[in-house]
Amino acid sequence: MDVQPQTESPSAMPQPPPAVALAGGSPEPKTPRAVRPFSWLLFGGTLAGNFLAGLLVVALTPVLSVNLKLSPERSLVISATLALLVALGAGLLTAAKARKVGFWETLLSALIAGAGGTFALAQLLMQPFGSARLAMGDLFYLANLLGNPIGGIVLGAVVIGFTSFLGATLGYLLAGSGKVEASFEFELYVARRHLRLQNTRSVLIRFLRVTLFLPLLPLIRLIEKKRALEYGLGATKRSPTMLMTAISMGGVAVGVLALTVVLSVMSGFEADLKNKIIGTNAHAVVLKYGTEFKEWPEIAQKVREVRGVTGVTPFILNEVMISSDQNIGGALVKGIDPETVAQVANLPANMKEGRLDWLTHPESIPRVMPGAGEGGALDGTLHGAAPAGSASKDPAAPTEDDILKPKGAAPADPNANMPGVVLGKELAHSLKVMVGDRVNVVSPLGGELGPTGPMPKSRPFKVAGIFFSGMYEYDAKFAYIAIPEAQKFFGLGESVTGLELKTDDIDNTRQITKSILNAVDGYPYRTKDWGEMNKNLFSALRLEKLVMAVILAFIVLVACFNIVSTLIMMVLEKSKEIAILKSMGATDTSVMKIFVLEGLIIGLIGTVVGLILGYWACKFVEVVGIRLDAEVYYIDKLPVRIDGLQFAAVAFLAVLLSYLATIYPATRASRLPPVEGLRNE
Amino acid sequence: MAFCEIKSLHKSYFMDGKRIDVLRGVDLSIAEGEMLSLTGASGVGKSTFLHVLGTLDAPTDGNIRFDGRDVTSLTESELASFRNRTIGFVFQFHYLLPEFTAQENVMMPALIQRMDRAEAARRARELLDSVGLKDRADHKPGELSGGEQQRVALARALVLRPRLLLADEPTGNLDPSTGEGIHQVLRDLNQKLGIAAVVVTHNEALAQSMPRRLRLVDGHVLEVSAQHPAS
Repeated sequence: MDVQPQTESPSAMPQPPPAVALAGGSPEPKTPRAVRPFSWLLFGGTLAGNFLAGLLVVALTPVLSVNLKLSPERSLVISATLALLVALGAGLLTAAKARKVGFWETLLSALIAGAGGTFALAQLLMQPFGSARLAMGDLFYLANLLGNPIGGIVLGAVVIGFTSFLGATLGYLLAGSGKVEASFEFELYVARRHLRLQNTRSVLIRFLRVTLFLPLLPLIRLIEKKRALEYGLGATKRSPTMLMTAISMGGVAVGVLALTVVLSVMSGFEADLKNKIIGTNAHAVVLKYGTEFKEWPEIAQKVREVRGVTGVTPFILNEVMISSDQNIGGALVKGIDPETVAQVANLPANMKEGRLDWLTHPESIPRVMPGAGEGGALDGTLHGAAPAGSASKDPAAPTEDDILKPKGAAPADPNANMPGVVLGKELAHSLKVMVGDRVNVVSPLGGELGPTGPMPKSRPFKVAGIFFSGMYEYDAKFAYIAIPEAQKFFGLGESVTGLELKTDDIDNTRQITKSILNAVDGYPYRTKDWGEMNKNLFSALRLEKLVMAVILAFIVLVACFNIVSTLIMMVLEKSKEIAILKSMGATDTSVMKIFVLEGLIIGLIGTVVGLILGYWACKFVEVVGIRLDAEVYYIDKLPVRIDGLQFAAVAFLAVLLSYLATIYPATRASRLPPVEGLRNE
Repeated sequence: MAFCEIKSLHKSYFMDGKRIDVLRGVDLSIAEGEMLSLTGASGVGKSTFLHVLGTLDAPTDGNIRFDGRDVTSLTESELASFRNRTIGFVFQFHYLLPEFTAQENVMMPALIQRMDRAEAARRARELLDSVGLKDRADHKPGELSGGEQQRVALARALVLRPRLLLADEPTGNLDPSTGEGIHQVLRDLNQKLGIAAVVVTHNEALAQSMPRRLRLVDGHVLEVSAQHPAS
């Protein structure tokens, strides 16, 4: 009678033996329990799950962002989370039902779903129609970050397929034996013994030794060895598998350490940049379509009343040329209101020399730098550059002419008509001017109409101060003048370019700008927040960080291959024990759980050690500081920002990867036929 | 009353493309609490028979019924649970788990069943006591002698009160006097607990002492002294 056990039969019912007489013909001998037929259930289930997940992302994201008016990022996050849950659930349920991890089934369904999804979306992408186009824009937020929409879809398909595989492994582990068995107690008991981790206290001591006294570890070892010899104990015996286990833990720890430190430093750079940009610039601006913006005082009042807005100041922005006696350079001249500018920017705090209120009181600007000595006059300023700390490094440049000009100008035009200007440090440096010097601001379009078109308009200003923001772009490009002067100079009348504002929560600026837009009744006004204003910079930074994270994640990945080989060693070493456990009635899933847990423990310990070492390394960089060349980086030491969320993400990644690393060896262990291990040597 | 019935059991292996028929139609029924010895030349397939009977290996053909239920058609996890409750194994080499103490080894089948740990420990101590190893409970297998190890293995096989004990040359690796001690324990436990046992052995004296003796020849099981007719 043919009564091959149907190990992969989805039905848990024992099949009645077919009533066929044994007609001499013994059936083809096979090793029935080793054969695992392709599970169409698992394949179909994960395929459906993957398609549903993809559909969810594509359909739900635009609904959320267009109909519910959520931000594109948030709608993508919500729909992607739901999609991943669907994929996970589909994998979990079908694997539990099919009682199979089903690597090939899930891979195949992921490939089909991924290819189909990519094709369908690529088709959709080719046809720009109305809201679908908009939705695509939202959808490919991440893809845009990568610079390639197709890349984004492929990435999404990979993530979804991967998640369904993850679900399948979990489903098998939890219910692969035919009933839900969420308890891991027995398996943990065995796994800890295999790893020699049964004694919590000794584990804790070893753990603390590594994390607290890593540099002293060789010394401790030496002392221990010496003591052991004194007591005649000899060195403790270590099995090669145990050594490999320790090395695997170390590998994960190193990967986690590298990831956390590098990401923290990159976060530090980002935060530093953000601080400088936001410190120099406003959090958001209110602009008006068209040129006339005379009603700005009323608008400013309205904006000020919006919740979350902490400061508003008008500004005028125009491109000009600035020339000094030595040099000439392009600049952005910004008309500001010195009274209210402090509400939105750190300009007053960034003033390096001179004073901001000299913009409105140019008569107070000293003719030379304070401390240079009145008698030295301009000669002293130009030739004795050192005492003022000026950046002038070209003493050969000044000529007789340079010295004569201001001398001649000063008495003829004593403080009266010359308004003040505040220059960035780098701009002042390249113009070779200091507080009290004269510069000419030339606007190419500001003047009257001449025979050949608009005549450039030029006007002398007196340097009232020099600011240093730390951002080279700002320090080299910006010049500030008072609003009335700017209006006069550019012929704007009562108009301004727009309003700058500061909010109480920079991460919520987008929402606040929306309510501002509502408060001013939308068109013809528009808003821009700091993220939009510096979109390229921050996307570049984020991309850089992403790429860094991916590259460094490879270290963790390699470390996880270490876990794979360690576990394979372990499975080979323990094949006899596996057979015994099975002979005593341990199920395949139970055996699999044991080895999954062993790998997870290795990964977890490595991760925790790595996190602690990473935290320490960051603290070290933060407290002790690693010097950078301030001329090159504009920062004098390596910035570090320890972000708990980032650490958590790294830990999650490391544990996830080590979990995946266990799947293959653990599956091998679970499928080991018991007679194989019991065969006498 | 036979609780285990084996009908036309076949087992073949493929080796280098050649088919080797190890079991060629074994018919046997085992009664509750019965003790059997199984002898046979080396390599004749005694261990294979025990593995197939104990559901560690699947037969090529034929069936094994316990209380009328054909176990050859059960799924892997049903088999695991079946082995856990119904079968106890003792092997020639003790095959204890080296990381666990004697008591923990004996507890293992109970823990697999997810029995409460305290209850499992109580049962394990009781059985270790009955095999005379009360004061060796906290030793690891490496610290026990061969005879002690085999007693622990016996205790482990019996901790869940299985209905069928399958012993594969339990004394094959021991000196005669130690072996005799194991035999004695085996007989005592069989008497006391009423567990049926199939003992594969080369030891003629042990085989002679069993009420029912079987011999595996040419892939068939023959009764040496038929107190019960083979079905």
